[in-house]
Amino acid sequence: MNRNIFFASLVSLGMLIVAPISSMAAEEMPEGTVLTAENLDQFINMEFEGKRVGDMLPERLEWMIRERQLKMPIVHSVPIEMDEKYMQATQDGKASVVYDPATRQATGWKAGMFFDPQDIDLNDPAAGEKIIWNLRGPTYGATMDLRHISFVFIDGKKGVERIQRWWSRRYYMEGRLDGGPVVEGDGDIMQKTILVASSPQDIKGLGTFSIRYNDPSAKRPDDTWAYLKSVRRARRLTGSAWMDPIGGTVQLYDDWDIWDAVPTKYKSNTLIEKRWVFAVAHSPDISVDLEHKGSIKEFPSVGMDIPPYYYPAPHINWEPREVFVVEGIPPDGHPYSKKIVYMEVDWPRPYLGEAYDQNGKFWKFFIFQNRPDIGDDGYKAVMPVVGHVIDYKANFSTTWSSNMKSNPDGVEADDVTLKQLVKIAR
Amino acid sequence: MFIRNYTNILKIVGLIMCFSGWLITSPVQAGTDEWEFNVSGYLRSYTGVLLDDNDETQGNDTWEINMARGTFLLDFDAYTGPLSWKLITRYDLEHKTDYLSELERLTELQSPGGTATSGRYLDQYQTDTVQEFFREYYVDFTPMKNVDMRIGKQQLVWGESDFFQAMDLVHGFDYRWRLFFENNEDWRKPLFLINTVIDVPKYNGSLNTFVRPGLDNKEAIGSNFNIEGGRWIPHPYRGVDFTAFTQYNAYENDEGDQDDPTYGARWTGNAGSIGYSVAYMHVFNPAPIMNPAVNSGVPGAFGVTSMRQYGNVAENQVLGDWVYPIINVLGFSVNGYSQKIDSTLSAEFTWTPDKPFNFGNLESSLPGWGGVKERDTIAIMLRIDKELKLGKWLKTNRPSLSSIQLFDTWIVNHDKEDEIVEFASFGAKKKEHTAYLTLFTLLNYKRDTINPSLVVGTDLSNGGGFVIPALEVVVGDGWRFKAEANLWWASDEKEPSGLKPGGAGDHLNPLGTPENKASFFDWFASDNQLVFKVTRQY
Repeated sequence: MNRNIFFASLVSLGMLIVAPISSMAAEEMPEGTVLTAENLDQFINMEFEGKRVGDMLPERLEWMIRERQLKMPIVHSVPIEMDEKYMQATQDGKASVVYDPATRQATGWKAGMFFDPQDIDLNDPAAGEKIIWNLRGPTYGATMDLRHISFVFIDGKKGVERIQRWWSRRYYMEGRLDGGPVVEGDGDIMQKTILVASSPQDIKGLGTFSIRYNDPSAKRPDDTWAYLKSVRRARRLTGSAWMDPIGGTVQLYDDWDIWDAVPTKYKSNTLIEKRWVFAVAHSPDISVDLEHKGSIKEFPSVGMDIPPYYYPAPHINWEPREVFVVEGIPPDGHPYSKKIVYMEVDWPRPYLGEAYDQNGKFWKFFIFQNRPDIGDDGYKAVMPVVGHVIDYKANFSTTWSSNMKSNPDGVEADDVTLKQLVKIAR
Repeated sequence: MFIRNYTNILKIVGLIMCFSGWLITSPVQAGTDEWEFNVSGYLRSYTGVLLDDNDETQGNDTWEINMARGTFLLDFDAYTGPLSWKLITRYDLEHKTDYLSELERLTELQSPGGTATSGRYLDQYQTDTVQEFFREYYVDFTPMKNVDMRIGKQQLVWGESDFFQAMDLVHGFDYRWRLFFENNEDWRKPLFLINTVIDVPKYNGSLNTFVRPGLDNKEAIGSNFNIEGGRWIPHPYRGVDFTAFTQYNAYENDEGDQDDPTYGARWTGNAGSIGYSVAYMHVFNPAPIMNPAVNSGVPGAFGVTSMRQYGNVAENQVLGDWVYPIINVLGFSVNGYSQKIDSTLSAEFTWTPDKPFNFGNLESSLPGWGGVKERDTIAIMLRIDKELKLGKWLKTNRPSLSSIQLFDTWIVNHDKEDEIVEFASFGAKKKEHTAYLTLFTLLNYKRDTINPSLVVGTDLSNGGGFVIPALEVVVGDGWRFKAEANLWWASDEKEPSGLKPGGAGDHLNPLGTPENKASFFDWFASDNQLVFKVTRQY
């Protein structure tokens, strides 16, 4: 009896001791906390919106805070509403979409997402493929203007090295939900993209025009031309240009929106997990402030005056977002041996990414700032507006910023052609 | 007259420099989406250093500076609603180096009376007219759906070939200040054109037409070779001003007059992933053709025993006129990507009926001065481009764009007895095929801030060639540095006659030794040199 009393007392004592500790672990981190190397241990076991702070920091992100001076202001998440037409098209069309595990190809898609994320079974071996198929359609409108897009070359020790100013437009030929035809042309083409430089003078007029075809096998190569103003001529590029760097940047064409390739371009795409991460989902409306052209204030969302100069600015807030984590193995010849993307679960919006070199070593990290946008036609899109592509081996970043616009007025398929590139690249 | 013109140009340059300097330093250059104005440009210096001694000159030219040049370029863009405007101005200024002074001295000694001995020696290299200064000016607009027009002084380039001209025949080039290594937009001669592009989406292509109404001045027609006897006249004519014996006559010849309109049309389309174009052009022959002075005041001079006029009788009554006959050209090009070999393949073909060539008098001091023969000619270009993944071995930061091109000029119904030459004054008979093989590769390091490159070319038909290793360094937004070596090899260099000019009155026969071997690369046999380019862009 006495022994029972003794053990009961011991357990009670233990509970008395453990209870405060448990209550400490569940303590909510205040909104507005800025996670830094100095305070991370203080907050890492606290909770935020009911989830442990440390559990919302992928390994590389935590390393960047601890070792590479990343500071993250944390705010509560704000729901994002995707366009009803996009969500409805997913529901209307999902029964028609067929996934073939043997070929990894998805067919029968018309608009919206290929696969309803709610239907994706995390244990399905093809889950990763299906999630990346969702990214292959137009995710931020049928047409996207990358207005005033600038690539800022940033040395992690010295700061801004140089600025390249470009202009870009992508036009999807299928899956269009702008009130016009869902498919333009004969369905042969997936999307067309123009990218043309306007500054500095030595690259002014340098541009590319590419056509990506609607081929679920991805065997048909892109058609890509470069316009070289120095010789005033367009020149056909190789079909493997999709995995080349954009200009002299550390970003590949394949890193457009962190992940640009059709799933079957890669050897495999595997769902690693579904989790929560801190991400930038509500970047400010103005990413390029032309009132301050030529100064670092031109890029208000990037902390170019704070070492290492290439992270989001102090007023850019991070919020909890639930994401799929997908690992892709690129084809032979690709600079990366592996790429990982962290993508919103409810619709395909990449927030973070990692790239590994051919020796399997961590090479680059992608932080893409996103924000909701209302297109000129009222379309509700969520789009990337600032892309921090950081080469940690070189401690160097090319960070792009753009005043993106979804579904701009008056743009037609014939406005995105090789002829238009030559016309624009003056 | 010269002083007044030159002063006017300087005034214009000064005014534009002040205006654009204010704009460049202004914090806001862009306007609204509808109305916008931008200006950019660069200030650039070129320095050429000879690595060879030229036989024609008195001293040793090795390490002599043959080019000390400054260029100020401004590039204006204005967008005013439906109209987009472009203005490019360029002002070139040269310092008369010791090497150029020596060439000028030789010119005065051997060939007085030409443009190079009129006290304006550097005019052959500098900006000396307002038309030259206003290099390009045009307006773009869309008069109706699928139709785009560009009207004004501009550059229009058709075709696929690198280095050589097959379909790129709308314009001539100014080869006087620099040979063909620079970006060719710098030395292409812009023309006033009405340029129209009509999209035809139904057939997945577009129709491009141009009309040159004939408003350009005579200097804008055809290509200029440095016949003034300057640093890029082929050897052994350094210091021989051919304008003392001949003249460019682009304005009064039945075979080609500057006032004659030129025009062309090109259909460009895609058949699946294969790009193609078909073109017809009615343009000036890019290279000047000698119309010999059949009624020369000095008949039989320099061993020339027979001459036949071409078009009109030459205006120049000593040796003749350089004329630019109008030719008709049919062209076809095709390009595509081969996934199997991960390469882009391109080809270009042109057919020029009755293309003019100089011929005859091969054993004289003036080969090719017999007159002009017209022969059907086909140009063929075949090229393969490949991005070589050299990063593993050379640590480049991206695949290296590399290219191999074969360019052949085929004279159909070629007859050795025709005695056709490549260019009047050089005696190698032009063969049925003249084929050049070129190769280039570009390496990129440190995010394209350190860019070595290599260009190699050889004449498969006649021997000789060139190799150009270069290094470009990018520093920030503003500074660009480039160093390159222009190295040549030749086999049948034409020798100067007489003695090297030493004592008083001792000078060369200005028209060289009679020969019948010198071909294209022999012209530059003693021109190995280094070139340094420093650019500050704004």
